[in-house]
Amino acid sequence: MTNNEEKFKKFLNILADQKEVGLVIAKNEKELGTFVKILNEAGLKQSEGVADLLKSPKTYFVVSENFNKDIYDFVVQYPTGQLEVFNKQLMQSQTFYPDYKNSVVILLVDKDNLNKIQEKGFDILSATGPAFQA
Amino acid sequence: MIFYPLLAQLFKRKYMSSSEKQNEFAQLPETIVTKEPIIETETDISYLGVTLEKAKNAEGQFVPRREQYKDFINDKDVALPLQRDVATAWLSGEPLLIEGGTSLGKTTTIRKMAAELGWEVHYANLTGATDVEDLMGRYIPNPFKVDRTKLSNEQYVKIVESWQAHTSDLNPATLEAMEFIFADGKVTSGLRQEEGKKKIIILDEFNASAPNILIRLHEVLDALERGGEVILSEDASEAVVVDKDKTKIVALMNPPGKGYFGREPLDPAQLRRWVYKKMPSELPDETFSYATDALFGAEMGTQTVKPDMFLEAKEQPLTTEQLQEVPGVGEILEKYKEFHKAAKELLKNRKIAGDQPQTFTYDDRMEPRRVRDFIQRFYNGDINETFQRALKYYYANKLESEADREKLSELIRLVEYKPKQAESKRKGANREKKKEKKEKEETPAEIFADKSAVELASLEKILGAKKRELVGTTIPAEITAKFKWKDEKGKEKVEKIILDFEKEMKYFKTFYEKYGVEFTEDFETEMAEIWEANRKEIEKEIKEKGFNEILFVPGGLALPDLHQKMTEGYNTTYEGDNFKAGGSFAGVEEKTNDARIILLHNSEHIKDNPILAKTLGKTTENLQKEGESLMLSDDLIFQRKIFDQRGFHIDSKHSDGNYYWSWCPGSKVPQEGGGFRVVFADWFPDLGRLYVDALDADYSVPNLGCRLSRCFKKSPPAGEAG
Repeated sequence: MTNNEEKFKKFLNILADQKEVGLVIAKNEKELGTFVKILNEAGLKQSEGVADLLKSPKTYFVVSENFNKDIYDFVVQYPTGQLEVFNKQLMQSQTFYPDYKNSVVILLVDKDNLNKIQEKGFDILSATGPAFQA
Repeated sequence: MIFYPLLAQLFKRKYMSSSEKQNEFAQLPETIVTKEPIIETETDISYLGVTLEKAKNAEGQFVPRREQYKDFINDKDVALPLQRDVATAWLSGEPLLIEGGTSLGKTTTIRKMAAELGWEVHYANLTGATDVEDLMGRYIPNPFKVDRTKLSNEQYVKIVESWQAHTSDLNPATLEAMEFIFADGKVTSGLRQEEGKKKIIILDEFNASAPNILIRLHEVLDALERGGEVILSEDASEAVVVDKDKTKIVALMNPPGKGYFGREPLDPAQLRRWVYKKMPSELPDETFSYATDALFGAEMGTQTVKPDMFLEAKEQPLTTEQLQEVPGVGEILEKYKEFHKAAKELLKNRKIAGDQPQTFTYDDRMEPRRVRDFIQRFYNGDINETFQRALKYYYANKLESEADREKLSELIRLVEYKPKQAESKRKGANREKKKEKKEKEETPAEIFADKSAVELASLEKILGAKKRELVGTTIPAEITAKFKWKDEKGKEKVEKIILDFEKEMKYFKTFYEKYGVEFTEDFETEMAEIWEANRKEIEKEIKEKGFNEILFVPGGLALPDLHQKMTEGYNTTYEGDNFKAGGSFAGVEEKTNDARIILLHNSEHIKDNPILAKTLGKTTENLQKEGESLMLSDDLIFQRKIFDQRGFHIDSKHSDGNYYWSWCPGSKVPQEGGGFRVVFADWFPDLGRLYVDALDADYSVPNLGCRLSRCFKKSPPAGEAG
């Protein structure tokens, strides 16, 4: 195990009980793959969308260039104690109340995609809490 | 040269000795109160004295849970004042726009208050949102359409029961048969009123919003302000009755620039609809330190506060009549007017808010109304204190830096009523008076030792005059006249009307640029020449007719293009059959297309202005004989100007339930078989659009009148009526 991988594991321990979504920034796709492997080994489940993020208490989401506004809304609202998720197809809102004590939520992104989505106005650097990059 | 006595006093203070300043502040005791900043009873919660009622029905998924906020830190510099100011806005029913950095916990604070009050939160984040229908609602395939043959009776009854939460106004059979149903958006669901509920709509990251969304949201704000209905053009013009006592709107935004991607400064004209509260970009050091200590248990979760942070709302707000009876209100009002002008000058010259990327204005109409409402609601027996708090709330709160706030606070402290002292019989009183007088005489010299602020205040006017001097015209900047009239009871009233060329010229240039209306390079010179050539006539018209509104209109405007630009953001104009038959906007013939100055009345309703009311029921034949020739193009510019300045349209629905429309006697459309019809226009708030039609010149309708006007052009005859 490399030094960076060890540091990353320590970072995961910090994330427990956090009231904000954590951010992990990978240098490139290769490093992103390494982080995914570690997260899976640590028992975190990969989410494909907002519905998954709400289902699993310990979860991560891999951010792509086509970043979904629903995910952004989730990240921004997560620290505020109440989450309103809006289903555009059914035009229905559902609200959730994060249980910070037992949850870990992480956004995983490579640098290239991070820059692209920041430029689109999704300021996840400001909206997330603890961050890690090797 | 402009001279503001308040600024003069401010300069006088500037030259006070340090011991004088110390004495001044020594009078303020450093008191710590034991009173809790947040007091909760069974029915309400008071945030630094501003009491809000809890919802009678606090059930449902949209009400945040209190346990989520049990470690919320109520610090005295950020969290508590924010809650007090939010509560004040909610109590008054005003929409609140809060600008501040992400770390301040704006959304969390709102949700925490909602949890305590049992109010619903309807949240919309406007970053990346481009679809108005997500907010206002849209038709979706009917999710309630079921195949009954495949359901048992028991299953069917269960499904029908589940529908009731969504569709209280439709019976199951009707609902079942529909292919599509209308579903509310996030904002609409916050606007719908429900028994015992109160709702907050949070519009997060407001300045990242797409322009089409801003326009639609402003329509919602305007409807809330009027206490009327929001027309859902998304749902076949369904009218949703709205009530600002039951729905509160809070917009939140990060400072434009300052590292926040995609956050553009809002148009200052849009800010006037909001009570704008500027918070720091990041937590002040002291707050950060206290909040951190509190988190670690080294400090209490709620900080003690000074008594001057509390507001006390009256159970019943003062009426306007009661307000008039408050001792000193007349004097303090005069000082407030001076303060408002001085604050605007400071802002205009970037003496305050110079480093704030989000520019704003102190609005001539909204700010006085808000200050009045505040005083009516929070008057505590001390008019000076109440007035000064109102000014802090609506003026100083818009400033970010402490230095700017202090600068304005110095002006605010001068807005006070000083009861006249009884004649002193002490020996030496006269000597003291003489000394005082001498000091006062010295003040201007002191003031003008530092000319910068006063001169800067008039710099713009001087520059404007200089420019016209170069092209051979020199004109006084203002026309002032007194209009005397009698009210319904026969009591004589005098209205002082001031038309300021510089101010209007600046306004119209910005206005036309904003809407893409072209004007020539010599537009200002043209207007100045008309102004100068007709100033006596303009003064006479104001004296006789009470005109209190002026339009500077460029020549050569194409009406169809102007119509499109002046109705930007509205729904499509409704054109009556006669108007369409006459060729619509392209078919309109107007009396002139020259550059012109138009005088008008800016009363909200024709019916309420005694002079305009006389035109109701008259034919245009008669109006034209009397010299009236307001044109549709002038009316379009006028309507848009008023809407931009006030946030609502004139000639909309009157409180008596009727519409009073306005002829445009200077505009006509051809009719089949020869002849012309005269155009009239109106604003329909219910439909969010303009209504234009044409009628025969001899036609008369009781609620169709005319906004009297006078038109001044460059070409002879000068001062031509109509």
